[in-house]
Amino acid sequence: MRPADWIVLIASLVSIVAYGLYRSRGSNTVDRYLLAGRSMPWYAMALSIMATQASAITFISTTGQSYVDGMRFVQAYFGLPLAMVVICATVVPVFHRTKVYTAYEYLEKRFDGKTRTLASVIFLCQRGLSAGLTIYAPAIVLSIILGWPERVTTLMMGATVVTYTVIGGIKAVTWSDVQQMCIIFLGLVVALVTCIALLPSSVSFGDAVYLAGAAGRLNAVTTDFSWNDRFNIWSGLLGSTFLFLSYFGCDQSQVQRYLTGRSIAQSRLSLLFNAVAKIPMQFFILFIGAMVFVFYLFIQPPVLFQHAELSRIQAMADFQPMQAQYNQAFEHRRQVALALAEAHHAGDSEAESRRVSEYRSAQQEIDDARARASRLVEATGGEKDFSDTNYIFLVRDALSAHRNCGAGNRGHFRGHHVGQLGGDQFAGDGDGGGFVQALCSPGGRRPPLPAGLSLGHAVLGRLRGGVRRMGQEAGVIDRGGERGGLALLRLAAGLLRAGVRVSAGSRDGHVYRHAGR
Amino acid sequence: MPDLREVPDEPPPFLGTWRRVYVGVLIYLVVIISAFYLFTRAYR
Repeated sequence: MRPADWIVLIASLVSIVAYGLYRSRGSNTVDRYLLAGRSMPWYAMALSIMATQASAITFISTTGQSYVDGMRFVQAYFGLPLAMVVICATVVPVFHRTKVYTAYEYLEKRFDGKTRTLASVIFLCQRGLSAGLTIYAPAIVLSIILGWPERVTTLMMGATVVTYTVIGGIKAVTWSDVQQMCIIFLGLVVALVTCIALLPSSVSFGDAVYLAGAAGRLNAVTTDFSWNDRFNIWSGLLGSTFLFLSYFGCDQSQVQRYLTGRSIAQSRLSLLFNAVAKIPMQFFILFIGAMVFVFYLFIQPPVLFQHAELSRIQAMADFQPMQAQYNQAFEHRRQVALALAEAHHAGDSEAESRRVSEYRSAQQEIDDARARASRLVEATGGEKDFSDTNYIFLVRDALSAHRNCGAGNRGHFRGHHVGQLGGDQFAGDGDGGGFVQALCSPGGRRPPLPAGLSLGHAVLGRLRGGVRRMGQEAGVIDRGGERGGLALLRLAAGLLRAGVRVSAGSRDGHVYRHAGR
Repeated sequence: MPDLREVPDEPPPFLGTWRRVYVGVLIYLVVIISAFYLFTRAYR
């Protein structure tokens, strides 16, 4: 880490915690602690709701999804506005008027205590498990950045969120979510700009969009109906509507957010903001994935993005011919992509049509090579239904580093940034892929690596399995992305509300653990 | 159960009534799906 990295890291952590705590002053009653005294403005709740639904995993997984399957995943969000309208019209006024602290307290008022306890226990078990993974992911990132053991960084992460959550309550969590969401937005813009800036100089943004479209990566809406197709307009409108109804209407991690609104109107506005903003945001994230695909048209990616499995199969006899075939397929696709862009520029529709066919055929060769590598992973003791989709967005430079140096030197690559890639490394099509060769040549002189991404394989390698499943399930990606702080707050709240139960008379009193029966 | 009419319902800051806001959101959904559909077709 360079000094600037340390400054950014520490300043971010300190400012998030400090600002959250500053905004949460006076949270000394149950009402203020759990519901912020029902004083939150709509925009804070809106961003907090968005941050609760999203996570680092969301941004990593969905870009990879777009890389391999195009943008049609965005359709999984088409039900969101429908669900939000229903929730705003029905659920929000009921929760506000019954003055409940949790979604499950309403169940007790409506049915009985046993119903509430059952729902609370299920929720706490479910979210408690997912919170472990949610805390573990950033802890691994810190572990790699700082070179500290994971247990230490996990404790560090846990201590940080516990501190500001326990001290500040829901206000601290909400305001820190707002800050984190702003950072995420900024990061997304930087990612897209970086990706486009790293394209060869002869490939314009328009060309990049055209090439992504020709490869079927801009398929934002698919109208074909199939029971086996997870993402199409029909599953999006129908399935995701119910998914989001349950998530935003019944899940305490979300309900807690909009219960803090100073009025029904403020809570409704926070949800409707998400109804309007979430689809374009997801579109934008997926578009970044499509641009990553175009980026990899000109910079050879590894045959598999998951380094742990790639390293394992590299020693096998079947791998080398497969790799040679993949290299050839990549070069073929690169040439065809450039030729297609030229034909598109020239307006030669006949040549363009021919090139499109070649381009898709070349892409198929790449896909076949990757499928063979995946099968090799599975056949040699790897995961069944192996997929490296979640590793795509972050993995490239780490693998380059591994190709170009021994394991003992890997740490050397940490701290290099994408910005260090000079424009001269992409001197246009005439460079003959010199940069790629330099990266891939075992004896070649290694140029500065685009290594802001260098955490990728290590982070995701350790999260394989659980995270992968989270990433591949549409709604589960987000539903698992709850902030650790909220989970802990909920556990604390659960002790007070679900388990011990705070009596009605104690609500405006101070927070005591013995508050209850 | 407490009286659910206890907390008053405020009007939205725009469009006058919540019903209109909801209709606006639904129209927005139709527009955005249409835009994505056209985007898909344009680059297919």
